[in-house]
Amino acid sequence: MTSCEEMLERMPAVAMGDAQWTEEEALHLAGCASCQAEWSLIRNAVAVGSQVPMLDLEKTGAAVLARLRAERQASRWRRAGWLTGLAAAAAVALVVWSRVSHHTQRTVPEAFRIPVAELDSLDNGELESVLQDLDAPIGAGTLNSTPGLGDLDDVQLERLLRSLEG
Amino acid sequence: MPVPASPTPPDDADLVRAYQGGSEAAATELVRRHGAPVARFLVGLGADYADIDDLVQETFFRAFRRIAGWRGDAGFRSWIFTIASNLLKDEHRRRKARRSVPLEDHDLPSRDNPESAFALRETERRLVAALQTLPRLQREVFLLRAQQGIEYPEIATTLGTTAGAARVHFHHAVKRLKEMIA
Repeated sequence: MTSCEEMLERMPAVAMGDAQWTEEEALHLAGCASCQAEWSLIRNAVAVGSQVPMLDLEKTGAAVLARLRAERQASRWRRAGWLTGLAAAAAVALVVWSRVSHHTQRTVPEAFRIPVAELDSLDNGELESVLQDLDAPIGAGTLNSTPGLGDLDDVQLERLLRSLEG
Repeated sequence: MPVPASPTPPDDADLVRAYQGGSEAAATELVRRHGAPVARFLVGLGADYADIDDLVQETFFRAFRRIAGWRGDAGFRSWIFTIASNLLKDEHRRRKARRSVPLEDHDLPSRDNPESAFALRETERRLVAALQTLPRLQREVFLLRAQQGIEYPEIATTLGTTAGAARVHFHHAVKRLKEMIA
C-alpha cells in the first residue's frame, strides 16, 4: 500500500517526466484529496519560470567570457602598474642616493685631504713643520713660499738690480 | 585545451577541467547546459523576469571566477544554484529601498493563448509569492527538490545540511505552501 509520504517523494520525478505513476500510485492519487493538492503544487513548481522569455545562451556565454577576459586583462594591468611604480621608485631612489653620495664626496674641504701615506714617512721635525704650515694663515706658510725683498741681504739686492738693468 | 572528444558527451566535471585548462568552448557548453534551469530557479526565488538575463550572466561570471571553489562533491548545477541564490539575496538587499514591480511586456498574456498563459502566470505569481514567506532553507530545498528534481543527498551537500534534514524541510515546505495556496 502506497503512503501519502511515498507519493510525495515520487512526485518531482513524475512531474518532470523522468518517471511514471505505477497503477497502485495512480489509484492512490485518484482517491486522495491531500495527494491531489500536493501533486498540483509540485506540477506548478516545475512550471515556475517556464514562461521566461527564451534566453540566448550563446550570447550569455560570450558575454560572460568577454567579462572574464576583461577582468584578467585589468588584473594584468594592475600588476604591471605596480611593477612600473616599483621600478620608478627604485630608479628615483638610486638617483637621489648617487647625488647625495657624490655631493658628500665633493664637499670634503681640500685642506682636510692630507696624503696620509706621505705623512707616515716624515720625521718629527718635518711633521711639526707641516702642523705649523696648517695653523698659519693662508699665504703665510713657510713651505714652498717665495722669499720677500726684505729677506735679501745687500749683496743679493745689488745682484737683483743688475739683472733688472740688463 | 580543447573539450575532450569522447563518444559520450563530456560531463560537467570534464567541462570544468577543460575550462580550467583554457577551453572557452567548455565554459560556453556549461552555460548552454545549465542556463535555463538557473533562470527558472531564479524565478522561483522571486527574481523579476526583466532581470533574468542579467542575473544568469552574473551567476555564471561569478561561478567561473571562483571555479576552483567547486570541489565536485556536489553537482555543478547545484553549486551554480547556490551562487544564483546568493546573488539574488545580494540584489534584493541592494534594491530593497527602491523596489517596484513594473508591468513588462512579458507579464502580459501571450497572444497565442492569452487566457491559458495568464492563468499560468497567475498561478506562478501566487506560488512564488508564497515561497517568499518560507524560511530561506525551506524555500531552496523545495525548489531544488520539486522544480529541479535534485535528490536529498546532493541538496544536503549543496546547502550544508543532512539528507534527513533536507527531506524534513521539503515536507514542511509542501505542507505550508499547500495551506497558503489552497
